Amino acid sequence: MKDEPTYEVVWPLGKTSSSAAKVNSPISDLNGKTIGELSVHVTPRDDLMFATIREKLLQRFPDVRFVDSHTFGFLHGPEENELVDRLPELLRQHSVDAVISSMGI
Amino acid sequence: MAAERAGVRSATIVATNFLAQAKAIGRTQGFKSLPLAEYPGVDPFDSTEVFVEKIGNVVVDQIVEGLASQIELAPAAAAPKPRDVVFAGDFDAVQDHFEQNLWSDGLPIAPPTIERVEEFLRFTDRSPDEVIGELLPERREATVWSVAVNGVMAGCRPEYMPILLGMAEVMVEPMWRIEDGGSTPGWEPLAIVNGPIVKDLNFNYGTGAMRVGRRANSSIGRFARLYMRNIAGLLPGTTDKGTLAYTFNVALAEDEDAVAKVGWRPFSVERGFAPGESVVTVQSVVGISPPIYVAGGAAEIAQKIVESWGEGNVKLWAYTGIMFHQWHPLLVLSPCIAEVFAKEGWSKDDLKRYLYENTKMPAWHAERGPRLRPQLIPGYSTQNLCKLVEAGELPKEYCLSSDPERLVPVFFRSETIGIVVAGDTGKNQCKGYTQNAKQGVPLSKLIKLPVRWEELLSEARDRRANGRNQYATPSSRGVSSQ
Repeated sequence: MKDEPTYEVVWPLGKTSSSAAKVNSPISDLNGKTIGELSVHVTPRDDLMFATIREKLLQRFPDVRFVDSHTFGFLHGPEENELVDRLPELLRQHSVDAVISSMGI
Repeated sequence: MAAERAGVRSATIVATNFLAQAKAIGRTQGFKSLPLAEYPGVDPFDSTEVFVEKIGNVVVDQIVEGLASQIELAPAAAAPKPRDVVFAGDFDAVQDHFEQNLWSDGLPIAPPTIERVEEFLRFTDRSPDEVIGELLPERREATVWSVAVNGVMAGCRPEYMPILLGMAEVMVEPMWRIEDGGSTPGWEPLAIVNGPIVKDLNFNYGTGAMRVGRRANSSIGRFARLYMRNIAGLLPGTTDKGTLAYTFNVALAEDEDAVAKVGWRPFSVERGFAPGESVVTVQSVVGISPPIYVAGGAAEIAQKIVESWGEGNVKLWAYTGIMFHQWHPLLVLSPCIAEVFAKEGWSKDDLKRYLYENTKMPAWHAERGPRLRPQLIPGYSTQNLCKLVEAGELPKEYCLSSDPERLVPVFFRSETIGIVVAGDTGKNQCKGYTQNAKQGVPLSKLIKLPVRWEELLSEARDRRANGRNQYATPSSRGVSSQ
């Protein structure tokens, strides 16, 4: 449009805070490893899901061990923040080497 | 991601529909890629046999591959400085640029020029560089500056700045859980304004209070959603998974004249603030009741609200409130209804108590909830009310027997029901607003005014008085009547 002003505008977002992400080593052989199961337990089939995963993984890695999802609590419940804060300690306590988490199906 | 941060490799199972969200959130946490195992399709529609087949034959392979894969970190993105001009163009070009960069909400924005932003900053004594907090999931800093920028864009007036800052203070509170602002129910923030600022800024608290039409209500409501998009990074389709969701709420201002007239306490005073203080409360709303028309005396009105709202649509969300041990439904009454209650000696607390004691549902409804699939798993319950009573999480009324048909309260604590008086003074209508449990719990902030508030407000009014009258009545709109 004729004679329309030009607007010089600023950025509407904000800078992101520094990342706490870290890279952990891959695990190609699950034999001898302990897997922690984490779940938001929003569907009634989470227990069935983890039972199926356990059965299949044991066929391929007979020496793998599991820590049941209920050990870590209800991650989508009222204590979510507390549980997430305590997760490192819980994983250490149960000597967990790897985690399988179900976060939304 | 919490596991990865704890030094433990992880693989995450997500349904197809959540893949984009999982990847986006991974990037916000600094991961270029995360091991994801996709459950193909929509799990609730799959039979148990199909579910087991997909987990065993599709998901497990991806878990094994994911745990064996190398994770990469995302490079840090460069950020412009606050006063950097990131674009210059005419009105349409600015709109296009903001839409292309996902910086707008789909409505035209007011171009955030430095001059306009600085005008907003005059209405606070806080430093523009002050970091109010960090908003998840994108972990962006919420600053006084970015509040002003987004306030400009939303169409706010500069003098709304103290309220906008109060709203940002709510959003950064971990307890408000803005990271869940993109959850599938699709909740929206609702700002509730109390105190002298309601009149100072010309909020509409009368007829059509919850409709767009008055600049303070409309633009402040729009700001909330815009800030959640731009600073929290909640974008539909990726980090925002609101299944249908709905549009932003305009800000709700309480009719404190009506409240005073009947001798009730304003909403903000019920929340612990002193009378006469200006306060903004922000809470989530996940659904709104149809209009509830009432008549008769207080008991009849209260019972109608029980039947229409309590045993109506709000009951559908009681399961979620009980599950998270947090729930704050809100009832908005027109002033003439408040008058009837007050005339018969009812306070807001009396009405809340009545709603708590008289609104019931079968216990099985609260134990199975919206994720009920009895056809697949007979007898399945996702929460046990008696165990919650034992744990002290629920009042004893929830476990007076073990009969699944026993009636239990829908509102699990009377004191967590909110009541606001607003709307057409002469119409016998109320509406219920369902809050989304632990997500967006009502939090209130004192609105901090600049030292020169009265002077600045007066200047702003004078400037407008010399220009177009924003508050024109229908007869003064310049439209000739037939």
